Amino acid sequence: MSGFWALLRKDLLVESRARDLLPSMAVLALLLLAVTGAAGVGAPGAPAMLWVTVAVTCALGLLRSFQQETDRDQLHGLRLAGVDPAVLYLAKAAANFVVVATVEIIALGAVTVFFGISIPPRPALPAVLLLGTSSLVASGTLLGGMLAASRMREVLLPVLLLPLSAPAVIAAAGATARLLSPEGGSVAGEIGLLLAFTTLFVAVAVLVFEHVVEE
Amino acid sequence: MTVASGGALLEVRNVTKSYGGRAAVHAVTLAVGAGRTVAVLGPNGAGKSTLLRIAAGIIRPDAGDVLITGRPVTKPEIRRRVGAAGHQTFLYGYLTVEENLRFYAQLYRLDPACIEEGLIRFGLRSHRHRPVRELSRGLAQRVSLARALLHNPTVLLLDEPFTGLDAEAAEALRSAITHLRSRGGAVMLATHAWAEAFELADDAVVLVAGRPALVEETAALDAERLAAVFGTP
Repeated sequence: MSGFWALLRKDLLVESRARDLLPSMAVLALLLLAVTGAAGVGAPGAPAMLWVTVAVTCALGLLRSFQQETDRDQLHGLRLAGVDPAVLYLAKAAANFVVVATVEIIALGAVTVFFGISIPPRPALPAVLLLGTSSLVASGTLLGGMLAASRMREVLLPVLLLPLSAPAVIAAAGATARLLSPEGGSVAGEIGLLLAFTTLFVAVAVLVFEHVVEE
Repeated sequence: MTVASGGALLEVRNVTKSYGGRAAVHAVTLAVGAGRTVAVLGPNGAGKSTLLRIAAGIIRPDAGDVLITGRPVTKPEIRRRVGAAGHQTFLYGYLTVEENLRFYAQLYRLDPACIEEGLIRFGLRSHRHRPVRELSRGLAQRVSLARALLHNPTVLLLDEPFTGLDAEAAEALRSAITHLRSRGGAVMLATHAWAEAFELADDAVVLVAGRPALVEETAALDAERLAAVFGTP
């Protein structure tokens, strides 16, 4: 894991200075939720809208995270320094997780306002939010890396990420809907699916990322 | 002349790389020994930058291989012995000069004292807290050179390194190259400026359309012979 903390710290520092990714993602999330809330989607549709919003903003944000490695060929500098591509992926995913999770917290707050729902204290809810975000970030970071050098990346990432992450989005939305309902219920199946989804993409990325970053 | 492969720090063996069916580099073989500098000369589009990127292990050739101290540059631990500075700086615009150098020092697991050395060497101490995106082309190039030399590389690859440098920074670079050679390092320098090659290099390889058109000791070269190979500088 040599270089992981240096890479993670660098990514978060760049994001904190640039201040263009998180604000734009947050504004997009708020707009999507405000429009759908005002359109009368209503409380039953809130969990689905929450996760669709997170997935869409995720597609926007993850694309940018790799641009900071390509505008001055920084990726070449990392390769020269012998950075393990798997470590690069993990550090990128960790930094992306921080950004997407922050947007998700903002979106969750917005859902309560625009959809008029309250969030009951269910212990499984943080787990679903955590694993749903992990699933999106694990698959999105891999795709973001693969598309970093593509001229069509702005179009391709959302087009590929949304169907690819659909199983995770559907599972997370279903589990969130159950946990936000007065009756509650078990979400063990969804949690298992999200855990498997995250593990699968992290494992695949760790194995193939060397080929992804190679020019 | 390029040295025999047995004593070479950098060996490029029969390397070919094509883009879209067009050969950027074709069947190039060269070796750079300890304490030597090889200049890669050629007009724009001759394949100089591609050759340096292949030598650095940044891009894979379609054929042939590159060895650093006898081992393939494809191995990350071998690639770490290479320092490279080119058209792009590999720096992060939102980080300051010092933060960029610290980041690379951490990746190379270096003593933080090397950051100060790099800042002093290239006259960057007064710019240490400035974000790289606010620097002029010349200052950013200085930071890039400080980054490339931070880990005392065995092999230094420089692509048009004097572009944008003022006299003071150019002198600092000449001094750094001399220092690296004196401690047994090897330098490969791509340039289209003949004067730089004559001044700094022991040997020269002239590329024309990706192919080595002339391989010669710089002492045996003159402007007329170079002009005959690829026109006026």
